[in-house]
Amino acid sequence: MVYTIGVADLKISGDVTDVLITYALGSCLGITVYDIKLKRAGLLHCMLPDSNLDRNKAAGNPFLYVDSGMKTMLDDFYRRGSRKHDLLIRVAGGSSSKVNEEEDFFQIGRRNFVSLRKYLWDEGLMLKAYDVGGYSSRTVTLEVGNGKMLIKSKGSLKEL
Amino acid sequence: MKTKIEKALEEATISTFEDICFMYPVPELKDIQKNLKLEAAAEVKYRGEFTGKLLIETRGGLFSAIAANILSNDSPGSRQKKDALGEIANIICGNIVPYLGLGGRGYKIESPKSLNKDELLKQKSQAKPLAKVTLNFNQGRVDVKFFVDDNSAAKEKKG
Amino acid sequence: MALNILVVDDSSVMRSIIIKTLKLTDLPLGDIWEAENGEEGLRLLQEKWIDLALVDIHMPVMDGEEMIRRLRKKDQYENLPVIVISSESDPCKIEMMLKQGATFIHKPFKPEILKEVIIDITGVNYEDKD
Repeated sequence: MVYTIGVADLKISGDVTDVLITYALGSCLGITVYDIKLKRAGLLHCMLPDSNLDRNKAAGNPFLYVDSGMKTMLDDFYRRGSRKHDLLIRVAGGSSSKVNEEEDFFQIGRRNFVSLRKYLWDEGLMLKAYDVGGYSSRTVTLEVGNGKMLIKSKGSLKEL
Repeated sequence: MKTKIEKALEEATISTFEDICFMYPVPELKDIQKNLKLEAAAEVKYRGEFTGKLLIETRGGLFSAIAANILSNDSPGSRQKKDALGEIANIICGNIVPYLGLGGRGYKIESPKSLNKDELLKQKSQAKPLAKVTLNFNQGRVDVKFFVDDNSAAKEKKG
Repeated sequence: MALNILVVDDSSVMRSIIIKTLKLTDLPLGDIWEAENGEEGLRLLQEKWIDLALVDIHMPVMDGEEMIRRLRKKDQYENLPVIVISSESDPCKIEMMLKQGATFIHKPFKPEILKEVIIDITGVNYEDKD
């Protein structure tokens, strides 16, 4: 089955026939976690860098923010028996809304990526691959059966 | 309009804080952040075609936050905090020196030095920096100043 | 194959960053040794079995340039993989390091870069752990 993950949402699947997909990542991040041993996959589509910006909002929907979204996703993997060194973590998105970066006053995409790096550093995890920045929107697909992550942007398709 | 070296100093400072400290600058510099008390400072001297130094100052809790983020430790020790600030200054300085004449060739960058209050007061009376940048983070504020001993010569070289 | 690694940097915080990064790479690690300058680094190279050296350039007592020059003169370290991690931006100095067979990583760096370079120059990967 193909699951579409919307903005500020998460889907985790252990069904090897499933495909997870999220569309139109601009400054948002599409973060994928894949357990190579258990063949479980998660795709998080988060919008903002830091849940400290609004703790109430984060309590209502943790997937709005990079840090609270990652915590919720990883907690699920650990609860189901995942071990850190079996997890492949990849990310796409974080683009700028303006072609001239200086005009992008809030630089949400860039901040989202820094926030993810901090979260992973504190957790003792490392990114396997990333495709972030630039000015184009991206669509991310993750196949649960083999962990293949595909990124479609400006009409071209690449594997991360 | 920013000069080439001011732009380079800002970029080097931002990328160092992003990559090493996992902090991103926030554009809003509120009045309260403008008037924060100085908490720590460090300098890195360089020698080559030109001589000078890079001075870094932190305010509002950033001194501790830098080491805390780098080490993933909420209560870093005094030595760790000083070492972390010095290393940040060292990295930024290494990235800025090439913007002086000769593309940075032949420069020697000394080990960073933590400054005490007397030394800081002495710094205040010194010449104007060739470039400076102030960045505000959620964790506090940083001021980075890049000095060239013979200021006019460096400007001339850059045209 | 587990890699024994020597980390030479005068900043204890930078050594911590590098060592934490090494541990996060999930590469097969053996012993990790630390030195504060080139002279200490050379001494550890004499005493321990080292498979890879990560070396800063600007250090007191003996800088990284001198350390690499000296170790290349010894037969047993002629082909030792060396990664220079420095904010050095002098193209001549970087070129000289490359000529000495070192690979260069510019500070500030993202941890993934260090992992890629280690895999590239040593040929080890996390699969080698099993």
